Amino acid sequence: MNKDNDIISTIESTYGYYSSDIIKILKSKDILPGDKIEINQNDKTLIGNLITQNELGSENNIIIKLENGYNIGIKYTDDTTLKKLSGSIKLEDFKIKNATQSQNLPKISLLSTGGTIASRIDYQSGGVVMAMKPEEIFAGLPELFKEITFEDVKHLFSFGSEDLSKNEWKKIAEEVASQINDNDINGVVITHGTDTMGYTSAILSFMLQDLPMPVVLTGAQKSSDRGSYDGATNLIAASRVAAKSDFASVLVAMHHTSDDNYIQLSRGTKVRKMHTSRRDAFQTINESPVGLISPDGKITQLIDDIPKRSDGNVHLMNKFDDNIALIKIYPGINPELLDWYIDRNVKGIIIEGTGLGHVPTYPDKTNMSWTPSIQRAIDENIYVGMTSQCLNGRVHPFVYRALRSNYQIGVSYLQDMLPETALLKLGWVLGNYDYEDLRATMEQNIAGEINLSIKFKEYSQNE
Amino acid sequence: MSSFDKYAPDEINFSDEGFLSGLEFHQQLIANYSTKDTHNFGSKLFCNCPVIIRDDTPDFSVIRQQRAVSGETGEIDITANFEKLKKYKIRYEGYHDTTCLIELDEEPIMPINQEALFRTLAISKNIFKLNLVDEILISRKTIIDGSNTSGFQRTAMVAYKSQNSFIEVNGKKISIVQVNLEEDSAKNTGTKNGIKHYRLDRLGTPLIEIATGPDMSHPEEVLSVAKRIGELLRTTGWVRRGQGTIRQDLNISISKGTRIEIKGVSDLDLIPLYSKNEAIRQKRMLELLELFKIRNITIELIRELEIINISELFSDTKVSIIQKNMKLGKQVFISKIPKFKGLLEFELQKNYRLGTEFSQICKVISEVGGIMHSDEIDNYELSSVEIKSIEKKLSLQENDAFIILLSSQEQAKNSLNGLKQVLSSWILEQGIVPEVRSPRSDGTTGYLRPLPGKARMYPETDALPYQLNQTILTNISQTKFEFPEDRIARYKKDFNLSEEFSQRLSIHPKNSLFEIIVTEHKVDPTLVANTILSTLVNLRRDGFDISKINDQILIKIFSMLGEDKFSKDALELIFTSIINSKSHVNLEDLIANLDLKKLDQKSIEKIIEKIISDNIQIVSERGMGSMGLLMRIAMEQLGGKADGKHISDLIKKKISS
Repeated sequence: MNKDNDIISTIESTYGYYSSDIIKILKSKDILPGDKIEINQNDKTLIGNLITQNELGSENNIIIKLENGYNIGIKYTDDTTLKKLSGSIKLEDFKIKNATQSQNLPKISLLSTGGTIASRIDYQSGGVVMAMKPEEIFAGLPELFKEITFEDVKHLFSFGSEDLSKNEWKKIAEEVASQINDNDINGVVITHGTDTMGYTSAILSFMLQDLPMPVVLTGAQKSSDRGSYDGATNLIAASRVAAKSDFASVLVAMHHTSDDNYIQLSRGTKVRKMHTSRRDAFQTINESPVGLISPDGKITQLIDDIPKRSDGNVHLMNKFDDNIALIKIYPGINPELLDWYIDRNVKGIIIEGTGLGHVPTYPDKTNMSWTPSIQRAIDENIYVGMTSQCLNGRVHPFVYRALRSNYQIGVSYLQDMLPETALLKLGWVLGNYDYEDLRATMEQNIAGEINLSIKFKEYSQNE
Repeated sequence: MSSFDKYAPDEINFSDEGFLSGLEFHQQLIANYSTKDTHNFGSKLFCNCPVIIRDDTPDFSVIRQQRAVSGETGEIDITANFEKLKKYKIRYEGYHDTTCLIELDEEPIMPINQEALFRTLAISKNIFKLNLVDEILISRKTIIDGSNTSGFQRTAMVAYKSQNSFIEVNGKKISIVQVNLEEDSAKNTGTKNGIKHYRLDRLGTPLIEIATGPDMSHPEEVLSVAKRIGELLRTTGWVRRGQGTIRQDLNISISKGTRIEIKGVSDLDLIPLYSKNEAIRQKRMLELLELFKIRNITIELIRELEIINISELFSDTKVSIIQKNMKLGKQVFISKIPKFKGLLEFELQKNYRLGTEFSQICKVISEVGGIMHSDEIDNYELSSVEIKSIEKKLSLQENDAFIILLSSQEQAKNSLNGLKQVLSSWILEQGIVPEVRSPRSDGTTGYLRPLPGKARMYPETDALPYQLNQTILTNISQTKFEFPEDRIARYKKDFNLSEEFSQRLSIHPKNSLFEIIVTEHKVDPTLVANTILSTLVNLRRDGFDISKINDQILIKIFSMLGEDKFSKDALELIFTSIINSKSHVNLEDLIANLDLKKLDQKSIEKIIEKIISDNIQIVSERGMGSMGLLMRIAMEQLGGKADGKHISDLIKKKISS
């Protein structure tokens, strides 16, 4: 790519996706997006403010915002003349009213990492952009300032959560640790994109050892421009949990149901986004939710097994080795896939097996059996952990004969651990422990990722 | 103290006052989302749920809350700001089989209903001669009264005015300036326990909105224009009819006033009254503002209004309405309204006083059931001690008025803030403030909200822009519409229909079905018209579910009738049999089982001869006078198997021979 093309803050870029001919004409008339213009075409006359064309529109149509608020596109033809009028509108000029904070309230810190909760509409292009300052996130929540004081508000990244990985997780963990160890606060709230919030909550659960207070991740499934924005209630509840609850754990606070009513708290290692768009997409898997927060802020605890708030510092263990892989098994999957990873010298592999933790073993077609490749991985000192693509329930190595052999080879069965949690735990154990302790550590419950006694009601279909 | 006439006039001279009105006509469009949909209900605008408006018990509900959000310029829109004063929960009720996650605001929208868009474009271009927008962009219009689960209504402008875009009404040209395609809101089914209830069945229904210029100079003219637009739309057969499918917004101004929007008029016949009352209201508002000036009612005075809780003074009250409200847990609040004495009785419209407007404002803001005020306090039988203590509490001067609110603390606070906001805007504006008013059943209008600015419109991010292309333009130009008068003439000429049937059928949604049946099958057009206009309607009124008689079945029935498979007198019996049958019916079998196969001439004659011989005594005694009796017996035996007219002709022939 030509280096000049990398510069995006040119005059042209503000026009967006208009054709170069149209941009030339607009420039010759000194017309910029936002300017009021008159379009004449045969017997038609239209007056409105020029809007940037977005990538999905036609480059030959001029988009204007009419006085009545509607946006329309008019095809630019040879008969079209444009005239600049006075009266341009200024877009994107957000005014943030900083709320006055009272000092005698419980203090928390807020870290913003991007995502829908930190996004707003780009009115020029009509797209959603991640550009919200953290102050804007809670500027619309005056009720929060009657209860809570924000000790520190930090903007870490403006990424969609799909773009967060190892380095960002380390940075977030570091930032949380310094907030907790250096400030006099009751808890930390992290705003996060929802796509990978479950990943971040899982890895933070491992990186933040001996956590003395709540660290609550929250986000939004609906954009902040709408009256139905769910991020507001999520953030209010998350802040209340951080400020007032007794839970010393990494938690996720999102809608419990489709109602704007209770907010559900899930353990960071046991939570998964189970729906692409619903408010109640986040479900606790193989465990009951940690608690529910009512609209008026009452926190009801639903499980006993959760660390209690304490004094002391968090112990940061944020090394991470990403030389790992997650493989999802499907019928007929070629074992050469595993060989490919072995050849790439990965240090550990999590398999998302079928059912109780199965891989194809084909007694009659040995070239399609996974057993030899698994044997090879283990011979080469590569950790192989087994989870289930059922998500709900536990893997078990002894139920079927074919599995027993895998167990005997040395596959590590990871109980009811979520595949993604197992993957991140693997990277974390590799980064922070000696290799000989790897398998034992993986199979040991560190941050609530293993539930040794799943109850009947702990399966969403039973609700 | 200034004197004034507390009554609003009955009439007003519209030309002297410079009355002007424009109309925004909304009607639901019928358009299936997919060509694979076989139902006749039409679909939603952004999903393929069928549009079925229901009153059976909903299958599920969710509770939501909405928040004011900043708009395009970062400012919270004046309307949204106003709505922010209101804090309530909303319950949305839905049906598992006819609503989906999109209505629930739980899933991004699907691409726009192509048929609805095409129909809107064709109507805009071919009926109203508007220019079509080359690139159509869907916008979100912020509406946080709860009627949309998302907090906004999706709307797109598809056409704008041209030199030829007008309709002629009573010889006058009325310009048509814009057509929009938008989604209908959820249906409000009331407020229970402080929770607003809405049904999702209507939410997302395609609505065509046709806006006229401000060209009407008399209330009756507004009605004529509305009727004409309705007629034109109905000739397309593409619009839904019946209660709740049409809504008008009226824009009314007088020369010294400003544009006021009356939102959601569904009863066309009340249009002239609403228009007149609004003109009167604007004139009266100007008189009221003069009185404000004379009395030196300033914005500073208004800002100082505050509520005081005086519940303890009323713990032993004898006033039943206060007793009742206190039993429900409400409290008693008062506020002084300085220098307003007598003004609360000032009529803005007939039987609509300033005090009524105050109540209306409190009601829309915080659902306060009503307020009392000092100018009407005699109606409530407060004891003199109670009145004295209020006066004392407020240090009331001679010219001051007060209001009493029976509500919660928060409701009272919000109500008073709303009142202060509205009164301040009147004083600041020194004239009529642009606002939206809601129609009341008595022809007056009540305060609803400030007129929104353009800040509340911004792009819908989940939809693609839609560019017109040559294929669509060709399809549009090939779509022909017949104006109502042309169609009436054709029905009379080609099908020999009566004037009445021609008129009614010309605007009936099933008239294209009528034309298919009568051109493709050998049946009497009047019979088909009567079936559509009357027989089926009567069956529905008698409680039959006529949705089972869909277009395909109706065509099949008439094709069999055309082949003389049964008599036309059996039609109703066939309809009711189909409706009553539990499973899918094969028409041939059904008619066979009903024993409706037409009898041949010989068999009919034989039966009639037998009837006559059985009753020969009466026939010989009464002659033609026995016709009625014989006819009844014959129809009982033959009903459905022979035409009534044919039977009666035969009997006549036999008797007289």
